[in-house]
Amino acid sequence: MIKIENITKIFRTKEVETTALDRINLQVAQGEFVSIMGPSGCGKSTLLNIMGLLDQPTEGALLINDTAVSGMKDKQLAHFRNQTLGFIFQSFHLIPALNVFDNVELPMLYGKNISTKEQRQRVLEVLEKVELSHRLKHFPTQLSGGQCQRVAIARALVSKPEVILADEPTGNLDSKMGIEILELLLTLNKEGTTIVMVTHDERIAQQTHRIVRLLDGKIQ
Amino acid sequence: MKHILKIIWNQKRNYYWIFMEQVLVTIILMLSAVSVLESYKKYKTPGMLNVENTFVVGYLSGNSATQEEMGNSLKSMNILLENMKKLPYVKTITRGFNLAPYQRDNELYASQVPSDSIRIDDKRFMAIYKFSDEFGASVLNVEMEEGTWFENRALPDGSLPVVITRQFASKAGWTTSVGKKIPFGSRFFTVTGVAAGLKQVPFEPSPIAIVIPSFAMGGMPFENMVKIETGMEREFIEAFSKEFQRLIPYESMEPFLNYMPSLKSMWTSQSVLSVILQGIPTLFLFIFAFIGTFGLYWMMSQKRMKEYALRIALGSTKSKLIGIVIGESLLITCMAILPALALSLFIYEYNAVHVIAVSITIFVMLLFAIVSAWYPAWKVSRVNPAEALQYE
Repeated sequence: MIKIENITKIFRTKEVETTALDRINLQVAQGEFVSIMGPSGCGKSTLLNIMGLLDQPTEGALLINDTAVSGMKDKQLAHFRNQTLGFIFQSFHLIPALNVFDNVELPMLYGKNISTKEQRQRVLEVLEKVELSHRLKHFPTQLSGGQCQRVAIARALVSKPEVILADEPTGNLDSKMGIEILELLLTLNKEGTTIVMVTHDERIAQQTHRIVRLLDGKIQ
Repeated sequence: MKHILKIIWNQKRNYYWIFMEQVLVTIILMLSAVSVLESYKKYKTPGMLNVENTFVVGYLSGNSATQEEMGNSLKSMNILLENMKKLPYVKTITRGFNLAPYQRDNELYASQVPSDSIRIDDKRFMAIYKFSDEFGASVLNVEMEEGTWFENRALPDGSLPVVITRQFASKAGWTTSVGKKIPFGSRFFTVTGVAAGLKQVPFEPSPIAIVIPSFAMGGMPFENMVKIETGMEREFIEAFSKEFQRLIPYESMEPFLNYMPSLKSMWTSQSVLSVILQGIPTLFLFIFAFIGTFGLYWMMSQKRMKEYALRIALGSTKSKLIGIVIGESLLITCMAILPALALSLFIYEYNAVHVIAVSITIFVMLLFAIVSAWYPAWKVSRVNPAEALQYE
């Protein structure tokens, strides 16, 4: 599903050169639920950003579904992200000017031509899945942290992606809400969605199929 | 567009002042555009008289002038003009009253010069009376749309030959005017020709006017126009001044000698200056509005950088991001144009000038919307999603 071959990421400023990732090799099989753990600054989020096509590696190759994504143009990358990947962020990143329905619908505005009726149908389905159908017209400021994250998960699912990339999805939530979110992700994984999750929480990581530990840009 | 409209509506507080500012700018721009185009339209109306190489000459009598001096001066003026005719560079002299343009504007004409109510069939309207001899048309190069200028004498049937302006003919409802009779006291005027117009000033349309032979004035005509050869202005001024001093040596009599192209330039400059003075505050308002709008879109785009980065993550392209920023600007401007359009329907009767002016206003405002949001949009398209979405 995801193949990372010798990926290196170096951040360069005028004074300093920082190697965030150093010849990383990693494979994630279809249907796997992988946790990436490590201390702060070890390169976890950088690795996730590269897998999510939000950043380019300095060296190395990334293949998703046997498709080499390096060298893709902006439009192709955008399309690939929209159709294949779903993102869940620690800060939720919901658009405050849009209500729950419109936030979840957002990826479909950039996707294939889907009829308005089908768009509405899909949004309602995913919101049903995350148990937020009764909050369609609410705005993010009117929701709790857990509800915001569930809306973000619904948004990540609406385009039926093959892979979900979650960067500390429970980082801003209390333990009870964190467990709810994890259970939701486990359910999605059981239904066949590949999930790669960055987390600090060992207990959460233990519930996934595999833990990949990073230290100083290298896999332990 | 529906998506952008949702964002604007849900954040309407953020856009309120920019919307109000653009409504004001649009209205002021529209009023200025109409004013400028209307001035231009008036300038292009037919009837501009050719005053190249032409002087208007005469004299002014002071309060101390005696009856004898005034009588002698009048006779001497006739001799002076006859002498001027003999000069090799003097082409034509015409004598009349109220025909010379650029002496006064239409409003002053209405208050100072002879005018009367004309009755034709069931129509009644005011017309300005002008007087001229047979040379008036050639000196001023009057454009005749129908018929000819008149001879300075009565017609065989005893009626007075007159030339009317197109404006007169339209008011009278005539499609062809030559031969038409106009009642005048116990006599009749007979129309011999229709002039395209007789404009008094460049930026006003020709008045409704009738030109009557100067012999019917009932006094000596005292407005004299002299057409000379090109380049002989100085010689003419010297000759006229010398003859005036010789023939009209009274201290109470002052010669006047106005070079008509200079008068025309003066009138033109006044009108152009008036348009410019109107335009300068509009331009300043526009510039300040642009700075304000640009600043606001810049600030808002910086504030929403995470949102734009998120859109990249969800599948937006850079060009679509640019589209959102510029789309918001265009939509706000389109909404701001609506009150101005509504106002224009109330205050204008919507002729070609108004349609063009409103269209120009809309075009300029849409351009304004694109230009003021362009740089913020370009900056947004350069967002690094990995950096912007990093948890702080």
